[in-house]
Amino acid sequence: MKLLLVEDHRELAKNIITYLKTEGNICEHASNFREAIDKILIYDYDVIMLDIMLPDGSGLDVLKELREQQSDSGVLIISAKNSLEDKVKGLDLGADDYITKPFDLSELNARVKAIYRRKNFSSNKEISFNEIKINIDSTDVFIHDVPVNLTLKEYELLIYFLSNKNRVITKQSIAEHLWGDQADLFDSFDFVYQHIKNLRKKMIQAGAVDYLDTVYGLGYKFNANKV
Amino acid sequence: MKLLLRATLFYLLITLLVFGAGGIITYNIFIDAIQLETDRYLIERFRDISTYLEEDPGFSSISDSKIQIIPVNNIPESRRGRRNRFNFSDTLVWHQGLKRMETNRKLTSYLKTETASFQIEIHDVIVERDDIFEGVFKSQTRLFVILGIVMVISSFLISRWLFKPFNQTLDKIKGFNIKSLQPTQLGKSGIREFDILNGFINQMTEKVSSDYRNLKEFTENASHELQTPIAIAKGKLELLLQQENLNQEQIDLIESSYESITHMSKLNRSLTLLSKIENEEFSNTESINLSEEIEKALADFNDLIELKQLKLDTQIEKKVVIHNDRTLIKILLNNLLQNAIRHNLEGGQLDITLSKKALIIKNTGHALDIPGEKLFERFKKGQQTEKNTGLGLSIVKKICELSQYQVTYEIHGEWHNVSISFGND
Repeated sequence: MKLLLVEDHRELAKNIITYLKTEGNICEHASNFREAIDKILIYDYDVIMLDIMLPDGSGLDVLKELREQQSDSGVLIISAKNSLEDKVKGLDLGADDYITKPFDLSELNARVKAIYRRKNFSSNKEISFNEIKINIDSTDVFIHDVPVNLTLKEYELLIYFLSNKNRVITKQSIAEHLWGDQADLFDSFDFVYQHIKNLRKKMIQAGAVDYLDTVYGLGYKFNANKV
Repeated sequence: MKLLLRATLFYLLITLLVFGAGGIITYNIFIDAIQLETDRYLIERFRDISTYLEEDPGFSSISDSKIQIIPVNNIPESRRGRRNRFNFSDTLVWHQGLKRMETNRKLTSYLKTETASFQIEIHDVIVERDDIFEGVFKSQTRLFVILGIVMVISSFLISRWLFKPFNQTLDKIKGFNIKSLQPTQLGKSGIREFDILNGFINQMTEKVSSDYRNLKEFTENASHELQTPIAIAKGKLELLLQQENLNQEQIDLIESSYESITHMSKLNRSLTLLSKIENEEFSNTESINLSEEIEKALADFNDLIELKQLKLDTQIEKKVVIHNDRTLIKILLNNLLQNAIRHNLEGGQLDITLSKKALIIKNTGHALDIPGEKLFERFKKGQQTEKNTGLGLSIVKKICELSQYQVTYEIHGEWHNVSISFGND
């Protein structure tokens, strides 16, 4: 994927770029409005991550520029303001998704990939990894070409793991991914554990390799190097 | 009571005292003037009589009931001086016409002619003190009544005209809305006191508006400025996690930092939300079908209810409509349900009752050693767990205050009972 990050905080940008680059993605960075406009005029990107508050302008104006160019880049808005108004405005201007600071890098990664998949629907409506095949359109999961019956949460969990292969994903991040704001509820992350346990069981029963490693006390990791 | 009417009544009270004093003064002046005139008249009569007597001593037998001439041998020593020549006194005399005793003024004096000496007494009717008093009293009273009526009526008329700028100021103040950030713009009225008041109010509302604007900006900025460093720190920890060969001790350190940062971020979000609610930023009132909203919220929580194996019992009346901001109501329901699920017992119970009057959420949970009402205070938690912010119920309370709903929290053993009554909305 070719990505552009428009973000004025250098350290935050560094985090995001470091995380996204490891999968062989190209991730460019614009630290202000002017740079962002320069870049989108010259290059095409698959997904643009756009901070709304820039030192010399609004990210929403970058969106308008993209629309004028009839660009088919996907746009993920990054905002520090959890304000509904900005969200609605952004989505109205053609953004694909919206994420609020502070976010988990694994969540950002999953969202970027989801946008990418949606934008390239015709060519890429399948996620496949070794024996696992997922049809995004019908939400069917196949292992060794045999359908596996997953619940909605298990399905979402699997996609989340496949988007963040070989990454340690924290329990908090999983909980937030599955339940959004309601993740605040968890006194313990037993719920996450239960879902993971069920998913793992179904996968192994269907003959898949046990890719899920437990990182003790912290979270889980989809270990793609197991064969 | 209107200010001007009250002032008028005070003035009337003072006027009453002045009229009383004025009455006494008038009365005395009348008496003095009448006496003086009567005395002068009596002296004149005396002079006439003296002239007659000097010419004709026989005149002393004049028969006039008002004059008495008594021949004397000599004039008493004490009455010889010029100063003591006339002696005036009041006396009662029978009045033939009125058939009663009347007050008369009497002059007693002595006259010495060439041939004889006389004592002469002359008296005449004088205006009675009672009559003077009555006259003065009547005229004063009538004047006072006329003055009173005129003043009260004119105070009504004048107050309308005089207090017009003041009433305009009052209207403007009533119309002042802090959220519009528009200070009142009160003009000149031409009356010094009102102009000072208007100037003061203009200054005050300007100050209030700018303070409110600053506060709002601070809240927004604080949230923005805090979220970014939190996001950075969180991201660094996530990157750190991706390092190969971390030992357990390092993982534990990362985990507890990660948890604290997540907690901090949630606190920040809740505090921002709380101040947004306090600033009444959610004021987009519409009709909301509360029954549907509750069903929707319950569907969202279904997963968690199942996972905690709670027994859910709902009695939700259809089509309960309230008027409020939709976001506020969603936050309210979310916080209430979260609370009831989070603090529930494993395999516990959750009862939800909605009627047109009230929403009652009952859940099982641990018995608490602090009174239920305390839970609405910020950062008060039943158990001091680190995972929750302690702001959920403060947010509930704030929303209820704003919407004028009555909210109570009762704990009976292991039953926790939150009820919200909507009033007559």
